[in-house]
Amino acid sequence: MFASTALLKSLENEGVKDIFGYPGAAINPFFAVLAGSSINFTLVRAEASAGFAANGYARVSGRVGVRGTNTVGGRSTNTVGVCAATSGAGALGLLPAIACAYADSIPIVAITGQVKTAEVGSDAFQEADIIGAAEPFVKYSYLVKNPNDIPRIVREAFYLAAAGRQGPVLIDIPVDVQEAECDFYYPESVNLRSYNPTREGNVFQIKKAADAIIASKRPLIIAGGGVHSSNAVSLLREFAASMNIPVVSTMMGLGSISGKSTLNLGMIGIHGNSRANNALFEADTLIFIGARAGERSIPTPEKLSGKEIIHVDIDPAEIGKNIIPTIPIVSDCTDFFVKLSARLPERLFETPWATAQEKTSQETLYETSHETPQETPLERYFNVLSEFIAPDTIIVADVGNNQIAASKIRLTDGRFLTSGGMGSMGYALGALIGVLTANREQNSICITGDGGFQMSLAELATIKTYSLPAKIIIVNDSSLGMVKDTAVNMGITSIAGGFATDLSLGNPDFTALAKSYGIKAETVKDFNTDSLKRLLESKSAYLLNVVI
Amino acid sequence: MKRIYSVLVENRSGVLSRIAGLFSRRGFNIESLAVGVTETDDLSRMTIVTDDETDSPERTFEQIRKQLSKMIDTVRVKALSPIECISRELVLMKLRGDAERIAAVCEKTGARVIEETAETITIEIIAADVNVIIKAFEEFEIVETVRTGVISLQKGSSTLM
Repeated sequence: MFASTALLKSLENEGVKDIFGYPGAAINPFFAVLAGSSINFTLVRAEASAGFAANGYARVSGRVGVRGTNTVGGRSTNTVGVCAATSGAGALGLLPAIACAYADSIPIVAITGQVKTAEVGSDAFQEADIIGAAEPFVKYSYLVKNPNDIPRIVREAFYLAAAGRQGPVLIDIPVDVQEAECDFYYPESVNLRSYNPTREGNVFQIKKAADAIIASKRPLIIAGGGVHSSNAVSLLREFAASMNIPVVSTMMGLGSISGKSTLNLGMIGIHGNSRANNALFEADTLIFIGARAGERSIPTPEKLSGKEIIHVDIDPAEIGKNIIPTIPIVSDCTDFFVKLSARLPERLFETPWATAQEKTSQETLYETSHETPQETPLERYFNVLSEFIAPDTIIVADVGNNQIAASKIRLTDGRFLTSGGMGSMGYALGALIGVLTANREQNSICITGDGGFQMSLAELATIKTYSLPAKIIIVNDSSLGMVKDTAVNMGITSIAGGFATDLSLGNPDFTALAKSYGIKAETVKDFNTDSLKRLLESKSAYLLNVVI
Repeated sequence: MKRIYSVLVENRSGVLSRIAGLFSRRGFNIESLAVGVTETDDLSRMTIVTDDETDSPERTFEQIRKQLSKMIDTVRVKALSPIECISRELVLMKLRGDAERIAAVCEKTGARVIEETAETITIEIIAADVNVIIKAFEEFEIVETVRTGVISLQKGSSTLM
């Protein structure tokens, strides 16, 4: 068997239904066999978008109607997103997306072509040491030297991407290895003696956590992205509701509790709301679940000292890194909720000590930069959008002020997908392609800025080619709004003087541009909310250029 | 304060660069790193010495241990303080100076002359802390120095596996 056929068969064995990518000479043998296979290939217009699409695809796994969702033991497992590119510049084009998946712990496998084995190290045409370049941003990587290793490597790569703390795995295959003859035997199991992640929390530690929660008067759950990775959303909701414990989220954790729940106090952090941040300050017991408490969420961890801090994370290295917990628990979120619930009474508090409606204190941990006393027209516009969207709507947000505004949209059973850790501009449009490839019927909206949109607008062609019903809102302030804001906050008041450019982008006519791709579009200058209805009701791709 | 990490890793290409990269990108200080195969062909063993002069080195030491453990190629990690270990480092030094005097210093410090030529004398030093002994030879002209880095085993019958 050809090694590229072995690669394809291995991917089929892993249940792969879709691959996003961009071809090139060094990965041609694989693309040749991919063409006639059961796997659907999406040709993006830039490699990074393939990685972002794989990211969006992986993150919606487990939802109803999603292609490639696997079920193991009655529980849906996370689908690994797959992207592929050629050697050199092609592989390097995937790097921003690999780093993005690493920062947000999203399971993807990136497959790259490499120059011929004999040419490795000779600075051949389109040769890049992608293994070396990607090393800081991958969970693991493989340079395939022996074609017989392909099935084992693919098996391990998919296991590593989805097990424990999820993340990207890279497989780099020299073109001659892809063309070589090999044996095919797909391994049943993975045998990695050096990798045994802890899934189940220590019983003694969970008992300590239960005792602390019972003894507390004002416990607060801080839900992070791990709640989604662990498919623990419904468990968290049941737990919070039956115990009457309020919940705040990090940006990655948005959607873990319904925006309609009175227990949902909102998002913490420098871009969060004061209700949520005040709650951190007022609570006596903090239960961090699948949240790494990074500096954007908890900029002043020292102010939390004296509180009981329970920190649950699947990655031991996250515990004690940013905050020092009093009760550290290495565990999968799902396992934690199951074991913790068993140790608590059916109902802990008759009423929650804090709800979304009431303000209890003016004290706050820090100033939130994005709260204005009065609702801005954009906030009002998005508030209306919150009312209009279907309960399962997935918001795919880019990076910048558009992202912060979008984070205020009230989700019920939807998700908020964004590049939380790396802040990769151009993420949203690529990720939306992944979401819609996983399920064309998925209610979803890409919210991006004029900056991030221009980094990714070539993907309008992908959307058109595959007739994806992509709903896109550009929050268009004709500039790099957040860069401007941070400059002002840093005391660089004269943007023109402090920067090489005035940060206005000289935008094209986005409506005309979309139309040139054959995509329906309109420019909204007055926040007219009828435009939102037209966007949501459109059966095909639709772009709203909202000038603010 | 010093901490010694004994790390058992899969004997594969790229592992050393992964471990070295981890230290550099997370801003951990490596004082020395020694690596070689073990009694089992597919395992290599590293001894990594770190030094942290800050007031609270424990948090850094714990992060280093956790980050090392997290690496997929890492089979086992143990962090030990120098007093819990039997440690050795080998130094080769090429010296210029009076041969009799060099021999006398060797006698006093436990160093050994390996090679004598008309122009230079090469010595070896094997010790837990070679720095003191190196100092003793500073009265001569030191032409070249090479050090292996510290290797350590835990005292007593405890092992890494």
